[in-house]
Amino acid sequence: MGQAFSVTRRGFLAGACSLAAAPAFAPVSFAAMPGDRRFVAIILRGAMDGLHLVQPYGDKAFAGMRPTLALTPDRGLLDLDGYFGLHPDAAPLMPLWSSGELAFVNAVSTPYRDGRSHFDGQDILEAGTASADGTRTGWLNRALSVTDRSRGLRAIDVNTTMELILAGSNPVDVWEETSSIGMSPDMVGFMRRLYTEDPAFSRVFDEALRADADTERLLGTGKRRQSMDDMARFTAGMLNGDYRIAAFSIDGWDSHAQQPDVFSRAAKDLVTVLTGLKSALGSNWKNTVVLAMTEFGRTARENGSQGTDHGTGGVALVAGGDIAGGKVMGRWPGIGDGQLYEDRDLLPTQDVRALAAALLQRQFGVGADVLAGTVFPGLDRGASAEFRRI
Amino acid sequence: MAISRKTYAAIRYGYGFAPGEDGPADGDALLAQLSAAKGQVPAFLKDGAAAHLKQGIDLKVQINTADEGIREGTVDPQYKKPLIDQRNALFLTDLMERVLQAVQSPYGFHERLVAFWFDHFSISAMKNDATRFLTPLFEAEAIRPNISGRFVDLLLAAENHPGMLTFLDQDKSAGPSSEAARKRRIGLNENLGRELIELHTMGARSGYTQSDVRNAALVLTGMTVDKGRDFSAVFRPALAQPGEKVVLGKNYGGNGISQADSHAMITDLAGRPETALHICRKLVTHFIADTPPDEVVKPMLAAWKKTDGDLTAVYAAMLDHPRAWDGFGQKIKRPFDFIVSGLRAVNAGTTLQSTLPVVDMVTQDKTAKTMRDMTDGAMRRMGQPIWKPPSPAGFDEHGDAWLTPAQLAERINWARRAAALAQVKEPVALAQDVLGDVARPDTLQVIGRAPNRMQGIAMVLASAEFNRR
Repeated sequence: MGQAFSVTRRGFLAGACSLAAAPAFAPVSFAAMPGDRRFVAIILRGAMDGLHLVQPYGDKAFAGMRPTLALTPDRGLLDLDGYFGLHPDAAPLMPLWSSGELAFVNAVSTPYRDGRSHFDGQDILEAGTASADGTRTGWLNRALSVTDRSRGLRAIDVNTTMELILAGSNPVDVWEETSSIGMSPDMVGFMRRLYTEDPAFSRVFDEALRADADTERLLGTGKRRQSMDDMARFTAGMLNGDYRIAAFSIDGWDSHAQQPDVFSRAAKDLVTVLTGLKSALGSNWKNTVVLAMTEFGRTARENGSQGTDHGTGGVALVAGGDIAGGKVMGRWPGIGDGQLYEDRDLLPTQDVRALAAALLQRQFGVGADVLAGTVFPGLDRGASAEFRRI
Repeated sequence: MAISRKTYAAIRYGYGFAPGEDGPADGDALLAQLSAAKGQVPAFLKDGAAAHLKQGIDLKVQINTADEGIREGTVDPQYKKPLIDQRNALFLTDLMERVLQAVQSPYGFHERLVAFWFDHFSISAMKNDATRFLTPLFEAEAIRPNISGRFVDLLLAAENHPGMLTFLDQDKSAGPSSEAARKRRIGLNENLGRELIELHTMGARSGYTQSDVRNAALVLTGMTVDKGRDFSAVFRPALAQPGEKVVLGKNYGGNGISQADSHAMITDLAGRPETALHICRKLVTHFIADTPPDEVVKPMLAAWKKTDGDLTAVYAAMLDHPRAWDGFGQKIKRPFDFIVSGLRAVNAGTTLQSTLPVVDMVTQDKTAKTMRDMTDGAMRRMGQPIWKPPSPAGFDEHGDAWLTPAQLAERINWARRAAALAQVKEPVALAQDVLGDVARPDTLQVIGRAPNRMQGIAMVLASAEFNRR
């Protein structure tokens, strides 16, 4: 992924034309329409530096900790609330912020502590567990079978390989904007027979045929290219059809060195996806909530190579057409003397799973007991209370 | 019906059968490959490492100079494009020759181990303009010559290679109290110190702490890359953190600044029991089953202990266990392995070779276009781009990640195109050749009834049996 794309222009268009935006694809009728609510989970792989995206310029310790990285409003930072400012790489998100369709949640993390391994960190984030216990199913998959409103919802992992967050016993399609399986009915028959004796291949082949039919209906049969913009359009197209849950990843956040360059590339992808989703979802944007989260934050101080190393507390993003956004949420712990976790990382003050749980409850009515049991084992039931206001 | 050892040797431990090639018969034959392959130059390095490196550096310098000139307005931006094309063509050549090496080598087990260890010590060519030429060299110099000797030598070669030092930012690290840090803004970078312990040796959650990670990074300071000259690994005392550093209870650095400290620490990490367990489990996961059976891991650990980490002895212990020759089909081939074994099955090695080296990035030649798309293009679409792992942990090892609708669609499409390249034109004969005795009677029957030969051949490569091992 990651083709060059004029993000700024698209961002402004998305903001300016929100009233005029129409669904990118004609509505499709289905025998049984699922509810209108939609949920998108984006995993920011590589540990996004939340302090770079949402900079606490009002904290007097900040500039000293990041001599080359810290910005201020007179050096390009986009003021959010007088204390926090948004990095200019994310400028195209400002229209969403201003209209209350975007919120940032500070100082969140999974229960993972001290290992600071990307891979364990991502596994815990996706498995939704309290520790790296080898669980091979994802919380978003388990959420599919827990309530009447979530049961049977169609979910799609926009990828060619299954990601842990959607892995599990409930069927999930794994399909990408460029996937295609053009085949004559005759050949389909032969392939079915070829896979009869192998149940796993048989099931996956049937899913591929179904996803292929959906994709053609949504995007046409023309040639499709791989880009963040197309991924957003494809995901939105599937959600405008009968999918209600989607997940995908944005890579490239591991900014150990030359952070401004590394961050800028990944931020461009994130911005393209968020503005692209809004524009292509059209009137369904108001029924959609997007949660973007990362495995952990990065060190509060910059390191010796204009970068940051693996940390703990980080930032999550929530976007959607009818959320109560336009605010920086979370319990800010400060970054001054004695306020950092192990004197190096932003102290996590809330469990990112509580945020995810609140959004699942909001979108699909999944109850607190179930959330704390099946979906997020060990999650404190009261933890999501303040996130229900989103 | 029991599946023969010859079939296991080809499919589970190699890149499958190539019609007309007599594959290894058993475990001894697999182990014999390791000594036979020793010292062989891989296809992507036939002009030699030194020439390869020089070419990479020369182009990098020319591109950087052009960039400078363009910034200052003294160079026409048009001048840069042919240089970039040349650099991309060199890399694409390397990459396709990397596939060719796996397709044409008679030593499939050796090649599979190279891929395993490259994945274990994953570095990505996409990190920057230096890793683009350092990554093939990393595989050729650090991995290939060391996969059948002692683990400690492989580890030392990998950690001290300029490819690794660049990929994990060791070239940007300096001790906070080093001479260099006192003069300019430079400091510690934990990246290599962490992955050395977490990924390359002991494994995550094996009992080390954040302070071990940081101190390991401090011990590694001084190791860097000579970027101004030949991109070799060098030790610069001015970057090294003076004083004692404790890693896992052991003290390093008490005798003044010296490269001997990082050498000693890496050697100590190689010798830890957690490391042996981590690596043996990974080997079994890679070759035999997603959940590694303890009964196979145990004798491997014993062999490791007895020989002080002699890798050939460890592989021998794995192959000596009956479970190594049982339970076919629990692993799904990853995209690289699917494509390499597919190209072998249809004998497309010489066709691939005929399109190399890549001269122009845009080609009108139909065969060249096809081969590029069926190697580099297909592996990207299937999620396993060559030499570009998504993270230092390499590519996912579990079958459920690779058996998905989008993946299967890509593989079926690939199989249909490969059918057009096939030399053997009889689908059932091809199925018997490349599936050996794992072909189910039903599978042979469906293939025999295919509406035409091309579809029959495509069905062989798309079959569940061909995708499993």
